[in-house]
Amino acid sequence: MLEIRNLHATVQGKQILNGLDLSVGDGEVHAIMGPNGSGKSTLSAVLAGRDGYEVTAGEILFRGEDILPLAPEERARKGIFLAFQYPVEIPGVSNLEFLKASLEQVRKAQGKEVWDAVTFMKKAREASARVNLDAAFLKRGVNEGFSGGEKKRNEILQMLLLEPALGILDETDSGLDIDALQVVAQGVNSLRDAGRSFVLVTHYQRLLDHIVPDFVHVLAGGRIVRSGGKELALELEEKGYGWLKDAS
Amino acid sequence: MSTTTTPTLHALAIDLAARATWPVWLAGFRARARRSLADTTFPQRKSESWKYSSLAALESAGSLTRAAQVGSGAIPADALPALDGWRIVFVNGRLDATQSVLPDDGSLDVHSLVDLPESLQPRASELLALDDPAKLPFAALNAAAFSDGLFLRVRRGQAAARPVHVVFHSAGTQPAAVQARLVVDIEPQASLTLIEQYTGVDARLFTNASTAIAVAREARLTLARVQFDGGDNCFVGSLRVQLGEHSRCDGYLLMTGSRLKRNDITCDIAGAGAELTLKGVYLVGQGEHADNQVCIEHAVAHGSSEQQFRGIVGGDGRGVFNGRIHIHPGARQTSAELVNNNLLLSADAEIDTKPELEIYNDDVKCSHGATVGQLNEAGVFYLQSRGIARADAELMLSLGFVNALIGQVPVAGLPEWLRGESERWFAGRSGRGACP
Repeated sequence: MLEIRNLHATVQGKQILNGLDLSVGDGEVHAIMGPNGSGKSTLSAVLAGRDGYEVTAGEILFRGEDILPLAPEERARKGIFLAFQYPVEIPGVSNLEFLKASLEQVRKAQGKEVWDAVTFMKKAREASARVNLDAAFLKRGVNEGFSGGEKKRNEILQMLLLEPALGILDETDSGLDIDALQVVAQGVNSLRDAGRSFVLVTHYQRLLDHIVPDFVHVLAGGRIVRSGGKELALELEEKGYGWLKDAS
Repeated sequence: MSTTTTPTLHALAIDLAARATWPVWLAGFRARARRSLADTTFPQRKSESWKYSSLAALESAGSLTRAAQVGSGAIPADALPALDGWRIVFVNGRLDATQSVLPDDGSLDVHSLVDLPESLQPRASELLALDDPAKLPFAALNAAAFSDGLFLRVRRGQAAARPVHVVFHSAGTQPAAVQARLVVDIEPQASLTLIEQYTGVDARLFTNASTAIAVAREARLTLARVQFDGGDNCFVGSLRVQLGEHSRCDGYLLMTGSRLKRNDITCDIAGAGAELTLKGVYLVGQGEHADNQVCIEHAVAHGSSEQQFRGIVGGDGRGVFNGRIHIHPGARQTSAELVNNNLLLSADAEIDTKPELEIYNDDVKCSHGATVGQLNEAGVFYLQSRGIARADAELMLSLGFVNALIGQVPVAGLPEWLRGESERWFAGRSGRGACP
């Protein structure tokens, strides 16, 4: 699904990623953990193609294709979805209008049938029910005046509708109460299947109680310094990140 | 030897006024207007309030050389929003009953100024005189030259049952001037929803509009001024709203630019406790101009005004916004707020915005701010990350920027029409710069 090799990236001239390697197979869930400033959010931004993040070396292959030359919208249409750490408020553009435009583009590019208005509304309502977001939110401006938890639910709602091949969740769990955390987890778990992969970028182990990862990686200093199974997350929770620095 | 001299705007205006016909009861008013027009200097670029708006478009069009013919131009169906209300149509300044759906409601008095009953003439004269011709030369021209107009009164304690949609349509094939006049009297404790719309189809028509509205004690007005007309028109208009004690006005100014577009808007907080909200949207594209001069006169205590204007300027268009808040010495406990946000779509687009506060007492709460910027990059990326192409994302964000205000217009059917018109403007006239 995703092959990252020797990735180096800078932000405003500052080196953040220093030779990151990561291989995510089809149907796998990988958790990327690490202390603040280790490069977790930079990795998410680089995967989604955000401006201002410069890849200075290395490559990112998505289903065998080099995605670095692609614009963010082209990556999205190929099935990459980033759930934002800080979803953006867009007053004046309703959630429905936004979802419709997004789904049309993505489904068309993937050769899927574009939903008519009735089907779209039905799917949108179902998805909002699944993330416990009142359907009234669909008519409001995108994330406008939403609480932190509502914004994260709205991210999961979009993911449920877009059904991406690769979902990247950038600290989606931060600042969530337990109810919202379960909504996020259920959203991911309901989409898990042999053809779909997830990268969960998180600071805390608690999300992984609800979404059990196949692999856990520790990012420090812009590189993966340690990889393991789900038990590695528990070890990190217990010992913190300090011991890894000593070990590396 | 012969020399050709171009007549000045001033000479043309006097000539135009001399040829105007008018109802007899207005003879005195006319005579004063003509005298004041004779003393008026037409604005030049060096006068502060016309610094950014040139009358060259008006001069070159030759529109002032004749008054528009009494027209019978049918208004294209899509030029008007479908509103559940009464419709009063003026074509080239004259009432056109065939395109109107006149109110049949006892709460309203509706008359053309030509046929105004004698009992209403004194009040109409008072309201006609609200604008100061010395300050507004085009209002003086209108006063001296208009042929007809609308007088609308909502009777004491009555609520107009449906919105009143007044349309001033300009039509013709020759350059010409149209004088539009609207006088509205909302009596104590009465209420009205008024949509004032200007439409025009010809390239070289000049519409000079003058509207005066009195909102009496505890009365209420919802006003939408809609100016989504063709880009080739010239328009200059004054709007004066006088607010009585504990009255309220919610005003919405919604416009695209045109060859020349200028609004002089004055709201008088004339009665204690009067409340005003004013929201505006201007879309100014390639070859277009829109100049809004808004002045709030807080003359008495306990008044409040809240203004929010949003502009988008693209191509080589120019937007001008001047927001003056004048708080008089006696206007204690006044609350006044003004925000003007602008978005520039291209490198050649220009916006000149200036908030002006003049405060003559200490017991007030006042704030103002203006911003000029480009689209929020974080928002563009967010939409892109969901598969929406950059150009479409920019369009969605731009529309969202104005739709946030358009969506607040409390007249059923109007926000939908305005959204459609905005989209059409973006598709055709916005002069959006190429994406980097």
